[in-house]
Amino acid sequence: MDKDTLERMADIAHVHLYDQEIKQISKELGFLMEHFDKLSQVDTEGITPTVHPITDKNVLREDAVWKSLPIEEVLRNAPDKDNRFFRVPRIIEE
Amino acid sequence: MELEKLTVHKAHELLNKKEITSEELTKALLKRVRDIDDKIKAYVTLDTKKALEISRQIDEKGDFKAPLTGIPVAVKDNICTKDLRTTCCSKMLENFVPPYDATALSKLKEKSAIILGKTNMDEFAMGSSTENSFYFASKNPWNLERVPGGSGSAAAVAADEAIYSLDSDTGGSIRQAASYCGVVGLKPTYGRVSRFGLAANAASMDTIGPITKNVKDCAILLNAIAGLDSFDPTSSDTAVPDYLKSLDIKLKDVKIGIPQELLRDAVNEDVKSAVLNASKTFEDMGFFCEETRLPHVKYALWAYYIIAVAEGSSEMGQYDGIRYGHRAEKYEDLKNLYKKSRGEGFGVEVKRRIILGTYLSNAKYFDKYYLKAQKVRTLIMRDFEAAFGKYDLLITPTTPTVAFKIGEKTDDALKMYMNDLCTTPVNLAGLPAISIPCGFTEELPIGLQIIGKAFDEVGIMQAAYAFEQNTDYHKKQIKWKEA
Repeated sequence: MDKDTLERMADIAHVHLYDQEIKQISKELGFLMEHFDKLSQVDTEGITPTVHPITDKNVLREDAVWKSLPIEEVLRNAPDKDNRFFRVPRIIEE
Repeated sequence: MELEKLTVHKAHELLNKKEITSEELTKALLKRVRDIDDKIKAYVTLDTKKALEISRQIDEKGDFKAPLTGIPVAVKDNICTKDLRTTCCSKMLENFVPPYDATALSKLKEKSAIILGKTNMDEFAMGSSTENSFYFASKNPWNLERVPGGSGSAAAVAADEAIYSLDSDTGGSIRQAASYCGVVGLKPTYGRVSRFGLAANAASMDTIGPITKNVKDCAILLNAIAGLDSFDPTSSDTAVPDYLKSLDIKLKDVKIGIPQELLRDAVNEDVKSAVLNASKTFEDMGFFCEETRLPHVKYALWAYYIIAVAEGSSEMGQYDGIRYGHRAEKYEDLKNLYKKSRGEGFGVEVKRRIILGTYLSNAKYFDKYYLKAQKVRTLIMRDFEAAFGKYDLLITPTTPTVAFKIGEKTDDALKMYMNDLCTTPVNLAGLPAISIPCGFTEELPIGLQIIGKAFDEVGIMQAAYAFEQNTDYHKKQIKWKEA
């Protein structure tokens, strides 16, 4: 993976990479991709993919109000809050 | 009596007979932690005051009939503990205090277990050595220059800093750390134990299980934590047997398969011969053992990593610096807030997996890698199904080598991932497996992995218990070696 692709991926994933990290990550990704490519040797024609190890039934519940955490508990770990709300930067342009 | 050396069942017996108190036991462990943890570095947070307070309350009540009552436990730092800092050993969650308990943990609390503290791990459990922890690397008590595996709690249990621990296993952390530290680790079937309150690493493979000093303690723990949970839709309603009682059932006509693919080149010669010796021990006990094949298992490690990074990168999306976790001090707009907060909050291995996971699951590569890995996962599961048509259990090394040196593999992700060669196939297939000590080389423990059919924790623990009764690897004492 070249530096541009790496930075594009970092941008899509919303994570800043420091220069040292770019070097470290790009160096090893090449080797890893070579190993990942080994899977192409496997014949998977007609094989159903497994998303989940258990194939149990779907779990449904009544659409009913259920106890939840008090608002102050929910907000307890917020880095920035105001009264009953999470504070975020403006997202709509003036 | 050195109380910190007790097992769960022995401590329970003494507490129930009123020969010791919970406070004495808790104090003995806290003293041990004070004396030795600056060498081992197993804990990242201690809950000293609360642990002592609760132990006194339990002593006052004086009811020790439940097998975990009044006994201290170490909890891996990715399992939510109400009002006790849970950081996943990441700067991202450095100040995170959960408003609720993980279900497995609340089940221990219902039995009046005492939470001693939180143990070290690789950041968000992404790693095999604790070297990716935001805080520090834990040391292996058998040799302080070596890693303990991906869970500091295995080191804590081995060094008598905890009677047992509650842990997690995505690609092998419970079993691999138990193997490296010469203790017992059980990864239950996917769905056997609720994952509610476990910070996800790769949700289709994450499991909660115990690390203990022997097999009997594992059975006691699984009795306490197994079962359906309405908060985890992937938890199973399969009946929960009495695992402890089932240990004493005399085993007959047990057939064991030894997959050749997991005894190949990458596995160290001493580890290989310890596993083959273990199969002889089983034969001497009247079990039938023979070589078998799991043809697709050689692809498991790579299928595992593709799926793990794809799921992991998506799980990490929840850490956005808005609702909880680290937020950068200065930012220009919302996107910049996300990028900077995550850039500052995550370490390099987590970033590597986010980048790789984003890359492999984008439309261009989805079929080639992610979908392919999921298909290979199906083939691996079919291999296991076919093997379990012939055998009751499979045995393999838990890890290809004994514990490696701190720093030895930090610059080489590939070598680091190879540690998970024998454990990852089990997570892909969602099966139960246990690691027990089966030998030593260079004065370091070797682990034997026993794999069972889905929901046959009884079968693997019975075999492990029988093995333990016929060997004394689990009794070997640590000769303290300075780093």
